[in-house]
Amino acid sequence: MIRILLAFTAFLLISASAPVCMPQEEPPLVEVRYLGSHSYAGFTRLVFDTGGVAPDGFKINFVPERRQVVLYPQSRLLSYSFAPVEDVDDIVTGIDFVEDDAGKRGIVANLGPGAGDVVQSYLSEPYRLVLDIRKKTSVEGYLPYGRPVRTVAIDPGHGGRNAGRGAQGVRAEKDIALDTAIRLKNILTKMGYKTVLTRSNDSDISMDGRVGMANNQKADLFISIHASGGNFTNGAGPEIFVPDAEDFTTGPKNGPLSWGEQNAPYLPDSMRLSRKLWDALKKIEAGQPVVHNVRLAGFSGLAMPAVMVELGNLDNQAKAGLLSEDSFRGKVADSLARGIAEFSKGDHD
Amino acid sequence: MTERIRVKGESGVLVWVVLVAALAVVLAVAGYFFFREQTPDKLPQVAPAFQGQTSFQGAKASFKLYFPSDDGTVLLAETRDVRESPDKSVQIREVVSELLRGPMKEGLVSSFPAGSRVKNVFIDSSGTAYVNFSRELQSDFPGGAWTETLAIYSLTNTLAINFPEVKQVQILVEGGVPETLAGHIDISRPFTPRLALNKEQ
Repeated sequence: MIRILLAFTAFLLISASAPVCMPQEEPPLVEVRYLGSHSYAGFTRLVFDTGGVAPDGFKINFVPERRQVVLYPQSRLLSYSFAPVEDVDDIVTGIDFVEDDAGKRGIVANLGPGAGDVVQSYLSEPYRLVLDIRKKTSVEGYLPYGRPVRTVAIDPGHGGRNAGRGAQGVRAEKDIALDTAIRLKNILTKMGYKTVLTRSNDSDISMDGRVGMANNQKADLFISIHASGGNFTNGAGPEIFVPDAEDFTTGPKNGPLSWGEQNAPYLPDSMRLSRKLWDALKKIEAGQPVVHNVRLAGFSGLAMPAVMVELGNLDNQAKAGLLSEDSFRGKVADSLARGIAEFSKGDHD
Repeated sequence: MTERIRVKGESGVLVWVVLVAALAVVLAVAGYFFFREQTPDKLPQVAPAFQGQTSFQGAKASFKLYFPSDDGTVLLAETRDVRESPDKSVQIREVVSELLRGPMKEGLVSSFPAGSRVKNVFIDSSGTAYVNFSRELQSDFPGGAWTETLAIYSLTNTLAINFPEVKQVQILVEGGVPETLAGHIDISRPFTPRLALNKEQ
């Protein structure tokens, strides 16, 4: 008790004296690095590493009349570790630094006459801020951010000889995925969506086959359903995986997007979908949001927002037990449907 | 008595014949694998690397190996003494072999399947390290998108931290470029390190 009192007194003394000792304490520095750009046919993507600070701690001002996008840290002082960049392409003419009248430093992207709207999104591990600057002259909907959702492609992972994860005495990943996918399909159909199921029985289909099916049926959203494995003490799941920003290449492109780049314009929408799904899932699952940006096999060919959901770790006994219950898989399917419905409302956060 | 000696002598000759035959078979098999390893026909065209030069003097050097934490959230370092080699690709092979052996420290786990081996390593002039594994890396991989991710960055981050000349890492299995380790993460192209996953204690 005496110790607590002493500690409390010390705390009071220190807090009281702090403003006197450090009258001009500067806000902490954040070091932002420009990672690179990628010139796609309809837009230019700029990616910044935000120095470990969640990108929602940054403010982005789009100033159309000055053809500038300015990036400010909200409550930190910007330090930067890159030289100004000139001539990215004809949409972004350069990246530089600015300081406003109050001395607040920011990073500015100067836009060319061909630049249109700006769409921002952010990625994790490491935190990265992504700015997609659309071509003004591009056909309406070319960068289809916020496109309405009519058809949902549901992809149950694995199948056939490819059983996926599943310890002895536990239902295999392929069966859990298929059952949950069929439940989700039924709920979405009742809600008025069209659906595409990439497999409806116990057969193994190549990833390219699944991607082709979703593209041919002009699905507006792709959700792949899996379960995970691994002897980790945490991470019983669920986890949501979203494609990552591609490695950077140079030089503008004018032709249509190649197969391997079709998913690129949908990255901001995929991130938004992952957040809506998580908001829905966390109502039945405890834990912190786990959204990973990774290079998902086959996903780069999907012409729609796309995520993979791993429902839970089948090597975790408690989780495997839950996922083997019909009622729990029903709840999961309900949550996924709610997340999709929230996403398709189209509110951009 | 003589009978027994004669019998014993005969069986002695038999043992020798069997031994010599066995030795010949072992040499032939070893020779086959040795020369097969020398001609990695499926490997990409890269700057010639000295493969056979393993002039160890028994010296060891410290390297930082990155393993997944047991909660699966980050990669943690373990310092390990590894046989030293003047040849960079041999040195990288030694370090990867240690990585495959798994962690010694508590709180760390291995993300590579037991039984997977590193066969050889090449570095090209652009700083891409090609690390060629045995088939077990793929056939026995435990699976799961995050387990695959942790294995990829356990390798990529370890090489990037210890060998500044390594800018990116391409995983090969039996000399070929695989699509995935276990069906989730695309490994058909090289990976650049993701140091954000490393947590320094």
